[in-house]
Parts: sequence; structure tokens; C-alpha cells
Amino acid sequence: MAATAPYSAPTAETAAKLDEIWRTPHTIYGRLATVDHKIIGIRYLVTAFLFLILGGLEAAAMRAQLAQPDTHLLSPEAYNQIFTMHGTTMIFWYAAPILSGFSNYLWPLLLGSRDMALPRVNALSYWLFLFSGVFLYSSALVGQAPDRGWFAYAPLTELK
Amino acid sequence: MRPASEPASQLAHLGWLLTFIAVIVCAAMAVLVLIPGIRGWRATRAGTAPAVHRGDGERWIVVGGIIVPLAILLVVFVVTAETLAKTSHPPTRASFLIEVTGHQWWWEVHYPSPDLQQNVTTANEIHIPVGEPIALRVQSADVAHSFWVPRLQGKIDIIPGQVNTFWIRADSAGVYRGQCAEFCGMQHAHMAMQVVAEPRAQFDSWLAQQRQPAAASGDSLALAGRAAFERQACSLCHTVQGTGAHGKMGPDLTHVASRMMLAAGTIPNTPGHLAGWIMNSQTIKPGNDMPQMYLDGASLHAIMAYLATLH
Repeated sequence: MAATAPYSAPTAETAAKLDEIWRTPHTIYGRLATVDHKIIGIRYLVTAFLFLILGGLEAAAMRAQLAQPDTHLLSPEAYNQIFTMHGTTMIFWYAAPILSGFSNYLWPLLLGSRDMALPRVNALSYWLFLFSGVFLYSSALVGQAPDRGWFAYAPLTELK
Repeated sequence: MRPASEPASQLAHLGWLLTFIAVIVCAAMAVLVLIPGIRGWRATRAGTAPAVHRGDGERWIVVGGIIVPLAILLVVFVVTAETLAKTSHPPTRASFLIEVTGHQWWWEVHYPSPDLQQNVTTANEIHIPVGEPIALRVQSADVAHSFWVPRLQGKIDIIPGQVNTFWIRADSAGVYRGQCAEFCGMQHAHMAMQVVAEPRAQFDSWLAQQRQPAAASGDSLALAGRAAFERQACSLCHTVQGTGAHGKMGPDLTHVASRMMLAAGTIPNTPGHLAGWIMNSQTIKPGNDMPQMYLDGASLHAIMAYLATLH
């Protein structure tokens, strides 16, 4: 194990420069454009948790339909949409991003780095994650959510 | 789980063994997490928690994290591979071959014969003689399906563009339900079949009956029904051997009256259900390929009488 280099405090000039680069301004634009890994990590955790609740509600609907044979709680179309959305949500909008949340928050702290690598790309990733989920669920508003299974096997998923 | 064949009971044993191992591992992990957790919590509260040093607990990681899981997974791997090897091929030569084609959402069943005149095509009901291994060739007419009769065998996936081979055997007579086990679209849940295992003599007479073309009944109502069947849209999608109906879209109806269920295990084969199915199958199994029929009462009555003759 190599000896750790002794910590030396930055000069006042360097500190001011670092602060200007990394600070999250308290403006709307500042909050939207922040690259602070802790803020982004918490956003991932909260958003993924909301998707977990959505996925859980979908699971509850499926279980209610399956509680007895020949229940007519959900139409075949609705059931297939709900089980597809449940699988997709749990894997891609909960399981993966919840790990991104912990990674964003903890990795720079564990490594002693200032932020994640490529902080702006990292910040963009969160917004892509959020808007992809909003986009996915907006299809449910018009009753046309994906209904071909989260595993998406061709040729079932081909357009007819 | 009431396995009715040797491979099914071997798979059931494997399932129970894996469940047992998983429960033991789960319980052991819970204990191993809880005990040090509670101890540490008490020590911290009492202010007697020992300092943590680099390298502490390395033995737990090597033994508990590498050696023990490796040993368990090795046992699981060997037992699983052994069971799959034992169950995937018949112990003796198969008596004969059945070809099964998965459609959205029904099963086409074909008993090929060297004499083409003796070929049998039926749907959603597979008859086999008890105690004999039967070879299966499964393929798809559209999307991925999976052939599964839980009490007789494991699953065999049906992959478009590929023929998969498998085998089944029933060690006791009975009717065994099968079900598509790969999501294949809106009515995947209503894609079931019956496997009828019967003594050899009974099976032979069933097969001989299925080889006959449709009975040409003298009943005038049935004859009118046959004419209506050929004239209406029915014959565009359904085949009745020995008549002008040669459609290939839907199940072969040459011996439809001999089957227990209709619409791939969705409804029992009774006159009431059959009439409802003919007139508006979309209310029974929404999304299936059969359109709503606009038959007048006399035509429906005659077609019903004709279908009842198709034993």
C-alpha cells in the first residue's frame, strides 16, 4: 500500500476558482444544470423509488386479477400492458437507476474524487432517465402502453 | 405438483431439492447477518465496540464468500445437469412421432404416417398410448411459444424458424393439461391443450377413427349444414377432410366433435358453447383470428347439426 500524499490546503485563489466551477447556484437554471454528484444521486434515488411504487401498484393489479380463476378485473389488453409495464419499470426504471443513485452519491466519496467522471454527461444521464420514464408512462394515458412483454422477443414485437 | 411420468417426477425432485437448499442458505444468511448486527449494536450502545482493523474477517470472506458458495453451486450444477441429461432423451426408442405447431393461439397437432393418406391433423388435443415414449417435433407458425405439460415433462421452447425435438410419456392413463409457457400475445393465457393418455388399444381405435375422412351423414339437416359450411366463410380457414373445405388458417375440424374442449382449452365442447363461439368468438376470446359471423338462424342450426356429425 503506497503512502497517501499529505493533504495540503488549496491557496485562496484556487479555492475561489474551484468554488466557482463546482458550486450549484441557487437559481432555477442552477438547480437544473447542477453537476453535484450528491444532488444527482439523491434525485436518482427519489425518482427510482417513485417508479418502484408505480411498479408495485402494477404488480398489485396483476395479483388482484390472478387471485381467482376467470376474474374480469382487467381486460386482456390492459393486463398485458400492465405486466409489460411492470417488468420494464422494475428493471429499467427502478433496479438499474437505484444503483446509479447509490453510485453517484457514494463513489466520489469513497474514491476521494471531486465528482463523477464526465460530470456534465453524468448530469444529463439523470434527465434522460427521468424524461424516458415520463415518455414511457405518457403512452398509458392514451391506453397504448407497451404490451408485448418486457423481454421484447421478436417476432412478437414486430409491427403488424 | 403431481408428476405422472418418470421425467416429471425427476424434475419435481430437483425442484424440491433446489428449494430446500435455497431455504437453508436463506435462513443461514439471516442468522449470520442478525447475530453480529445485534452484538455490534449492543456493544456500540455500551461503548465497548472494538476498533476495526484492516484484514479483519478475511477468513469469513474466503470461506463464507468463496469456498462455501462454490461448493453449494457445484452441487446444484452437477445435480441439475444430471437431471436435465436424464430427462431430455427417452430411455428407449420412441414409439412414434408427433409434430406440434404453435399458432396464435392454438396448437396444431399432426400424426405423420409413411402413407400420406393416413396422416392425421387435429388441434389442441394430443392422444398418446400409456407407458410409451413419444417423440415430439415442435415448431411455430408465427411467434415464440413454449410447449409445456407440467405433469408429464419440462418445457420445450418453440422458436420461429427452427424445429425443436423433445419427448413425452405418461405412466398412467388420464387427461393432462398443457399450456403455452412463453408469452405469445393477447390470448397467451387461453392457449391450452389436453394430453389424453389411454391404453394402447383405445389409442389405436382413436387413431383409426381420426384417419377416416369426415362422415357423410345422410341426415338432410346435416347435409344442408355441410353445404352452408362450404359456402360460408368457414371453409376459407378450416379444413374438413373429404369435403370442399381446405382452409389452413384455423384448426382442422374433420373430427371436431370428438374433442373435449374448444378454442384451445378455453370452453367445453358443448352445443351451447360451440354456437356462441361460431357467432361471436371475439366475446369469448378477444383478438383471436376468427371473425364475427353473420349467420341466419337456419344456417347456424344446420351447421351445428353438421359439426355434431364430425366424430
